[in-house]
Amino acid sequence: MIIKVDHLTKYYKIHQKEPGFMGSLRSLVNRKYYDARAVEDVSFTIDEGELVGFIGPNGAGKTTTLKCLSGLLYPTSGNVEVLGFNPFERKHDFLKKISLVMGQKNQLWWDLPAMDSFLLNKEIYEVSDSSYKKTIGELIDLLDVKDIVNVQVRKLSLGQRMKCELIAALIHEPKVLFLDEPTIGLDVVMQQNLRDFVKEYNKKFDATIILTSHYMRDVEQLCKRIIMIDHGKVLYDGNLSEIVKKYATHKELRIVFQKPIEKRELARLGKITEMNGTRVVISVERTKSNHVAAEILKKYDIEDFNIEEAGIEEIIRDVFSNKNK
Amino acid sequence: MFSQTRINNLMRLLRIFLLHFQYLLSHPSRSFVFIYTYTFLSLLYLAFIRGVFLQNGGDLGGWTLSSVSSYYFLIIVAPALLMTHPEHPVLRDDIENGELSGRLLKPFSYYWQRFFHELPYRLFQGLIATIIFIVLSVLFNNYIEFRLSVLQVMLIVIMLPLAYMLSFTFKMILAITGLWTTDIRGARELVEILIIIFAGFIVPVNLLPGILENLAYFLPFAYMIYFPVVAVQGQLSVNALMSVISVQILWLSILYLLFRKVWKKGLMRFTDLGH
Repeated sequence: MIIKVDHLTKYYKIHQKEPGFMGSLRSLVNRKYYDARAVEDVSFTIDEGELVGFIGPNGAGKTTTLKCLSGLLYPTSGNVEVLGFNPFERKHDFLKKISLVMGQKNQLWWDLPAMDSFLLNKEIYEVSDSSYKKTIGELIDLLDVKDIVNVQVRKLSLGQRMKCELIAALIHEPKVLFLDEPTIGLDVVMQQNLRDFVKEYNKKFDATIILTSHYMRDVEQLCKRIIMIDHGKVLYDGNLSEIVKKYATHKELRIVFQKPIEKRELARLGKITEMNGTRVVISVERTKSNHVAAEILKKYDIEDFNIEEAGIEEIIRDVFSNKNK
Repeated sequence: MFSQTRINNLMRLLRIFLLHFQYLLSHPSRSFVFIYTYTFLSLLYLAFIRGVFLQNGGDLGGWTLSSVSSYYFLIIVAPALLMTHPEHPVLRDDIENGELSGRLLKPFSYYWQRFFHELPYRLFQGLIATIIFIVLSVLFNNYIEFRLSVLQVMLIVIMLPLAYMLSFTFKMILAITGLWTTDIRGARELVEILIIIFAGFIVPVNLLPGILENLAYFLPFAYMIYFPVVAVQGQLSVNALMSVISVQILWLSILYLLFRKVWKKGLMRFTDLGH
């Protein structure tokens, strides 16, 4: 087992001020604080080589958990163990084996080419010349950045910079990689490139990776297992495929009729989510889907017919919104 | 004498230093602005004190017009070389802009990361200031006479890095108080004023009024700038140099322990919220 999180809780002390001038005056003499619950009683374990998606809405506690795992934050209570280390002690042996990549943060020197930042990391992480040469060559090839590593970082596009950030974070070949929104702000092509790279890195180095992302496509393509978190609590921890069985209450019937059908007539079969001429999408309860499908096929002239599971993104959105009701 | 591991480690630190020097060279103009400020202020103070000398004539508290002129020329070099400013990047980049997270995750102590970031600026600005010092000495026809024994030179060589470390550690403590407060600009300004007075920027410390002079010897600031300057001018005997070095070591030990304590407590409060 590489990562063990046991009843992790993290509160932030937040200063609260009433609005207006009087509020400001009151706050001067009597500052009020409250404990904001970022993570509460979170427990999970992750094995070597696993690629786990950590998903949840904004403020769910994903980044806080990653920061506790990487040793940036001191937990309010509970235990965290990564590679047998207590992360918060930030021992150099521990830091040499992990990396945290935050999509919106920059660790490269702005006014120099990325190559100089790579060299600095090589020295800081005490990577040998031969190992550096081999790793940097592989990473540059994998991410296809040969032409830009000698260009001043400030002149690079966001996607190019993100690729260079990844290289800087991986020069020491970390065994555990925390990726916090690595595809944020990137165009779809660049997102796909990064996903391919993460998959390849996971396979090649047998690295353990935790990925947080708002893009469900990242998680769908990369992670077999997901941990869903909301309001600091784990809602689901298991296979991505299982979540469909567990939470998908409806199926979608996608039908193309030979001639237009009245909306009122179809509405009694289920919830019409899309209707465009003869093309109709009806959402029906899972248990009734076969029965409804048979009825449609029997009653109408059909040109095309499909029964589909609801999209992962939709299911997860439903899980979070039902939880919040 | 040195093991291979130690040599490798020293070479690694040298490479880290050189990489930081490259970074400085990517924006050298910033350093010139700082130097012009020091030069202007120093010449302004000199203009005032020259007036005092010309009015009263002779010597003042052991200073002659020539030695006091050299003092102010050296006051351009000393802060450029020894007065560190890690508080600017620590507060602006690391704490306010959230770059501290990335630095904390490096297997290299934060104190030394910032040390290597600062050192090239001091050396580069020190070099420019030395050129300005030479030019001013020629222009004013006021040459400093180095009448120092070998032992004095050796002690000065020890004193200068201690002065640097003293200023660096003090400013690091000041900077990381930013982990507690939302804005430490006020405190920073106050400290700058204290340094200007007690490190000997306005007048040599022994010309300060009685109580301020005593206070200056008690506080650490004079050991960062004033004493290194008068030591280079040859005004300190071997015994005086040794006692200054002893006080520097004492202050450095106190400040370093304080830094460790403040840093440890600060990290417990560190939230990196909003980044």
